[in-house]
Amino acid sequence: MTRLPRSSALRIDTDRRLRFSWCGSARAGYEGDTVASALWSSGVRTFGRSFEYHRPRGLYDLEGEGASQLVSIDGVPNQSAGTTLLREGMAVAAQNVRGDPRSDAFGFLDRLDRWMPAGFYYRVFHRPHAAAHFVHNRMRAMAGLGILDVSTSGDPGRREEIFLNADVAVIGGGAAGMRAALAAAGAGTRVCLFERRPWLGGHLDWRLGLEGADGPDSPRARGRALAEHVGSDARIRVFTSAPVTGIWGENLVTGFQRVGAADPFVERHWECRARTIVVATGALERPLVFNHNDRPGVMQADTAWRLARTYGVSPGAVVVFSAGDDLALEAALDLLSLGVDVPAIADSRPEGQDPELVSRIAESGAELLTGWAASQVVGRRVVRGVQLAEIGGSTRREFPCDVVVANAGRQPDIGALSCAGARFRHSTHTGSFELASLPSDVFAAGRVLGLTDSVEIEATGTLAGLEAASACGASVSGTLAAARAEVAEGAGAPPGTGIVRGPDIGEGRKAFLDYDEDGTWKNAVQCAALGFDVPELAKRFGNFGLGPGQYRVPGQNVAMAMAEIEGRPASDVASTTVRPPIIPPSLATLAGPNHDVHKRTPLHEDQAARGGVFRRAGAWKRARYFSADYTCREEIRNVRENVGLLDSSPLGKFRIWGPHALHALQRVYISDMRKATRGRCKYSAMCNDTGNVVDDGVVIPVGEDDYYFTTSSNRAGSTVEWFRYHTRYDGWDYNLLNLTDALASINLAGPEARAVLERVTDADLSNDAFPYLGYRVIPVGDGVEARCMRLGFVGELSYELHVGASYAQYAWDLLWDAGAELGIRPFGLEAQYCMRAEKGHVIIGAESEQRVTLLDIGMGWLWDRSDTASKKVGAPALRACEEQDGRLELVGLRIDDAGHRPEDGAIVVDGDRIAGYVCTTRVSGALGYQYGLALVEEGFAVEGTTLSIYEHLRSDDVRTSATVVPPHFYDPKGERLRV
Amino acid sequence: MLVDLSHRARWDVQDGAIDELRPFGVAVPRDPGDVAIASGLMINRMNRTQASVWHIGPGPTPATPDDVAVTDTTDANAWIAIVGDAVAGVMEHVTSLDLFEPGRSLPRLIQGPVLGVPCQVVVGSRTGALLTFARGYAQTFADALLDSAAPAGLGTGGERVFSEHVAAMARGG
Repeated sequence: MTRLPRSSALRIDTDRRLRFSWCGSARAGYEGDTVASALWSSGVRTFGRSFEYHRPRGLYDLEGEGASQLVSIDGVPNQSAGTTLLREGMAVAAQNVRGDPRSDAFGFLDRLDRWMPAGFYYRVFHRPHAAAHFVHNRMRAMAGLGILDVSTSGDPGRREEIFLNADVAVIGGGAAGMRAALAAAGAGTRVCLFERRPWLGGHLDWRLGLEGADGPDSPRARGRALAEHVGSDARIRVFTSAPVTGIWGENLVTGFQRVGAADPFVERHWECRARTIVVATGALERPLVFNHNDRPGVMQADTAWRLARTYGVSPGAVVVFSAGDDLALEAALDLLSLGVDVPAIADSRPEGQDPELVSRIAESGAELLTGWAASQVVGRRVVRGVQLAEIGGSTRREFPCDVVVANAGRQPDIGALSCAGARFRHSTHTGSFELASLPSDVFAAGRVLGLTDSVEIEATGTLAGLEAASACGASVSGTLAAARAEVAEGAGAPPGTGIVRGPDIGEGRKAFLDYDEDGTWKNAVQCAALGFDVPELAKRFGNFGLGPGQYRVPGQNVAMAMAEIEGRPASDVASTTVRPPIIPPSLATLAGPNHDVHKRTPLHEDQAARGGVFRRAGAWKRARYFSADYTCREEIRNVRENVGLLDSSPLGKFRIWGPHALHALQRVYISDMRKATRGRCKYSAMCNDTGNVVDDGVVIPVGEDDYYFTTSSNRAGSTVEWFRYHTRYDGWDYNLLNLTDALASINLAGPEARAVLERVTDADLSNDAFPYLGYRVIPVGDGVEARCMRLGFVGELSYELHVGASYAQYAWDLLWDAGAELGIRPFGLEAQYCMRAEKGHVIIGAESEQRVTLLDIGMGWLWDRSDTASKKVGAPALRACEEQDGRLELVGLRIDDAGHRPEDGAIVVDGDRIAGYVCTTRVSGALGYQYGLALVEEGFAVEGTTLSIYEHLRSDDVRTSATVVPPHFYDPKGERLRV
Repeated sequence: MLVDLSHRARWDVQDGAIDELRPFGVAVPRDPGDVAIASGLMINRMNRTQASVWHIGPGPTPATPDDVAVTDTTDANAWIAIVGDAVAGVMEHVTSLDLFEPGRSLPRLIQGPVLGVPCQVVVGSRTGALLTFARGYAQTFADALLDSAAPAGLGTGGERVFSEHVAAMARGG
């Protein structure tokens, strides 16, 4: 394909040739080319096949506005050819193709459109049901565009993220955006400017002026000067190749940034929290809908223009225009000046063209047809010609060509504004939807306001920048007034063409409103006929705008089309809401560096060295097993018969003190906390307002109005807030400090626990001196202070030692050495989980949930019913539930089938009805049978009841039988705890 | 540079009448976010009733006063310093907190997430930031920080780097 003469607008380096492959065949381009421009320059016209009809699709735009130009690059699907820079060695392939993209094996589907009307999949292939399953699976297999093969797609590369703060975030680096940034920075505010293209300048970048000479007064020169000015202003941070993906609450702007090969990362996610936002995203070309308007060779005016100027590629040998705005006319003239044959230019506007453009077109010899537009493309696989027709008339003419440049004028790029909460209304003057209202702290400038005059565009940029700065508190009253006056003098948006479709398209069977989902004009008519007659309904039923292009190609056209079909004025309809992501980011970029930041105990390395198998437990990684036997049979046996050590450091630990500390404890805990005494652990639970148990632990008075208490590890992070929230109106004087990480916790458990501990401390550990539930502060080793509690979560004699985190390893080693000859071993969370289940000790979240209260899980004995003065959290709910029928109850299970253990979560059924579920089941070496805990309806909670358990992975007819028993299986009298 | 200061002493001061207290003989700053430096200590007002006290030196570590309002929290959290010209660039990779908002008096305490971990951040100057966070996160936080900020040039440094920074802060630099 012809490369055009060099111009100053060229963004490729013709001294640096890059090789790549297209569908396996060797091709070449230049550094600076995009994949699309390189493909076009090498003669590729068909980039892939469309979603539904498998129609050939080519290069329509260079901004990633739709699925037509999505290709696979190096095995990664759905890459935008128009916005991805070419790299050496790229392997580029077409998508949704069987065989060659020019002769796709499924191309015949294009002839079956009569059997695939709008929304057909909602109504056909549903009966018979057995056949529907088969057909739907075949359709799903064919659906989609790119295919991801994770085994061959390669490393996505390093992804980064960056978090920015600014007073003013400017979206769009064209003339208006640059002016806004300069004005805001000049007023003393911090500015971040985000531009989706690799360079600033917007439309100015490739416009050399009507002489084509790129003189000092050319638009391009002006753009370059502005860009240099912006780049040299230290108060403005510029991010190019940085498209915006969304605007969220409180002016959070997000996007991603593509970088070059020299950068240490492939792509990065960025976020900018701004006090104000200026949106200067410009205008998109509104597509003209005509028959076969999707053929390879049909493209936007800017596409043809940028191919020529930015990439030095001739768009085609013979180019016919069907324009709707002056920029398209200017593009035609520029192509003519480069020697491209442009025999005809249709302009759908009957009048209103720039007289100078009209004059120059006449001088060029090209034929200008005002009030005309494209009606139909000629050519089956690519453009061979186009029929132009008079709008409202009967004349039509056919022109041979290989490229049709078509638009119906421009429409504001509303994506960012819509996400920010802007409202729009249709303008009969411009023929498109215009901005009706903006949220406060969001300002708009430039072509997004419908403006076309360069002076006005820049003036609105300056005004928006000053208004944004003023909203940030900058003192700009004088310059702001002058800016407003300048904008007021402007002519405003010029009249545009209101047409959506070309003349004489008939039923529009192949006149596409949306390329992504093959949505045609006929489909829109079908939607209306079925009652989906407003844009919001037609969008969803007819799939207009649900593809990667979202609002860009179909956008305003769908709304205007529905109005026309229904015979209503376009002012009666609204364009649909644009939702993030405005431009699709890659999932790898959203995942980001994906660091696994988690908490480790002071004994983590030690546990790992001892063979600990770690699992995530909330914010922590903890050793769950110490062998490859995940039943932990030997770990459990050793604790039951001997002695074991558990690192329980994530246990929540807190100090609460102050004149009203006891008041706060009384409020939050369900028991009478006045009964907490020095030297004793007072066990209790916290409930929420619906009576569910949310936490449990022990409370120990350690001084006057001074307490030490524990919580579950999962709730430790929210304990302070829990207390403060539930006492927020009381004005109590108390203090809370989270000591969870300050103290390590080591659990020494088993019949030999006392014998081990006696070897490391000279404290009196006799049962009389230190009974069950006692609390002592004892010295261990060389006088390290340990807060020691005699508890029994696993059902054996056990001591829980809390020592300063820096002493954790010292204390562990002491105990380990002391217990070596007694056979001490570590045990992990799974062993603990099993042993406490054998005791019937509830774990919150395992045997409790939203539907069950403290009473339902058998812990009602904790509740101090007599205390109403403390307004205990959850007490009113407990009173209400106390006599309620139909509640779930916690029961013990003995599994009758020795050969099968139901999974945790298996359903308890009564015929076809759900009557509860199994919370936990395990095999117990100590008990000699399979046991479990379940929550069942009260009618099934009677001891001796036989339960039927269903599991979805087993045959529908198979049930497991279990018998209801008391939930305290092991040492039900607690004798082993109290030894 | 990233400097590990976790061995240095830290305390929590909490009391309903905290404004009347003088832990270690130093007045507690009045407003949340305020930071005072005196006698080798940095006192950071956290909220209505609470302040954190960090031993930044120079000088020996003071003993924990026998005061019910004061709790030794040295073991409770990790403490790191990020020192150098690119501190702002480093922190941009790991937090959305606006640490270097123009016009803000320094040093300043800002509380919020860094790498998703709740932190106290004291911005001493444009060339130094101090962070404390729950001890359990220390290793994985440091790993993530060094990885995220490697493009900004973050490496590790010894305590002398921090001492020099403290001295520069004292000189007003």
